[in-house]
Amino acid sequence: MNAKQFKLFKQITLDYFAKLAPDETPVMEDPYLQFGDPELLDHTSMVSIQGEYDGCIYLTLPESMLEGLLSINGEPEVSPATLKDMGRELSNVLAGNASQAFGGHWDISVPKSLEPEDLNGTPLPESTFVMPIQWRGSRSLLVVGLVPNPETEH
Amino acid sequence: MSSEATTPPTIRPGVVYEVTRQLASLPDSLKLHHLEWGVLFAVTGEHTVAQIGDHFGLTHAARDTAFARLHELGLIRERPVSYSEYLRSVATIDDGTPKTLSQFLRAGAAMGVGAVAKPPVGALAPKASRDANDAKPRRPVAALVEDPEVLNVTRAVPTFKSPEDLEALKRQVAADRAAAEATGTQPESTLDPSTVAPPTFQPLATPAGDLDLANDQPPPSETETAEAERRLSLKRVIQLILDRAADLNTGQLDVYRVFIRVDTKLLKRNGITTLRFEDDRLIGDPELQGAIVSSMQRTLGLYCPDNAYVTVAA
Repeated sequence: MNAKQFKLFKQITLDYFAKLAPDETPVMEDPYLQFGDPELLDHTSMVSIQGEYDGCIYLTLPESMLEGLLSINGEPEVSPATLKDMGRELSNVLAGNASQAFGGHWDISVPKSLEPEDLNGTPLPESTFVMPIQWRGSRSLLVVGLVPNPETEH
Repeated sequence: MSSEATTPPTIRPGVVYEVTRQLASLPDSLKLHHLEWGVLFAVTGEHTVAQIGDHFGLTHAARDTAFARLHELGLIRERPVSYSEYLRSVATIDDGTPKTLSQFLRAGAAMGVGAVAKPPVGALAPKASRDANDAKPRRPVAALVEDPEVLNVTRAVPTFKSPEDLEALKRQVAADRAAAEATGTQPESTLDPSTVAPPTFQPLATPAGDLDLANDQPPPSETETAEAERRLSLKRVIQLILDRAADLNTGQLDVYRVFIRVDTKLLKRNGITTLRFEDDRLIGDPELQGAIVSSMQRTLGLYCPDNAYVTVAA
């Protein structure tokens, strides 16, 4: 993962939100590193990646942001089913973004749409690069979690 | 192709080498370049490649070539070092970053004259020139100093680094001569080549803040802060990584890559669960310090400079 790919991935993720609501530009806050238990919100869209490092990329967001996405997409009904649908849609977007940014150098898995209970017992990288995104009054986290790949270690 | 043209990348400036055999046992057929002999004599298991190169005033390429050649011939080998020795060895590497006066003096102590380590007991790394000398009849130091051939060797060995060393030698030579004239005998100096030739590398008096990890350091005086603790500043480490990167994205990713290899249990043990790039944390835990320094080197090939440490009262 080089800086160019990384920058592209961040940008196209922000662009997704920006296109949905041109008047409400998403703001990426200062990133930080998180160690130990990962911060997970109400819904998580995730893809696994494998290459120079192994790991995953995920976007975790509160229910309020999913509701906002439903609203912008013209879905009047807010229910567990529609929220899950929106989560799956978001996962597909994330996977597409990851493929666009990292596709040539990384194996990218099919996307997963996960609720907190789905993540119980799922091993996640313990060191993560967290990029908070503020959008329409809600805060989501775009996270890169990597571990060294023993097969590509020199 | 000559050995000058190839510099194997395995020679690292922070490594401490020792000789593999007593120099007196070297075959007569062994031929080395002048510089290689000098380096071989300076390898005592106490100093890093960087220190020895610095004493000879060598370029990195010339230094590494000489070490590579000696290593290739099986005359020297890397000596494993302890944790504290490792940290001290890393401090001998001049990475080109600007330093404060205090940091400069500390670096100077490590670079120029401060031994990284004393050789381990029983190690095959005795004073190299002493071994060489033991194979020959002793000669008075006055004769040695006047012998152009020996002068060449002693110039190559960093004995006369400081004016004080040279003055001491001159005084000893004069004393030898005076004693010889008085007794009518050949002068027999206590300052024989075995004490002249090895690098002196006596540590400078260092400002407060020098490493206090090595047991072989002289104990602090009563006026020094005996309770001072050397801590690694994460802010300085992060800034060092960011500064060398082409842009902020690259730098932040590099910082992350370094911390990927640091055990999160160690980080959590030191109360670090999140780390912002502008945060400062002072790490006193030697294990965590070592893990971060080691990962910097392994991941980015970056040595942690002395100015990444701060000294605080414990």
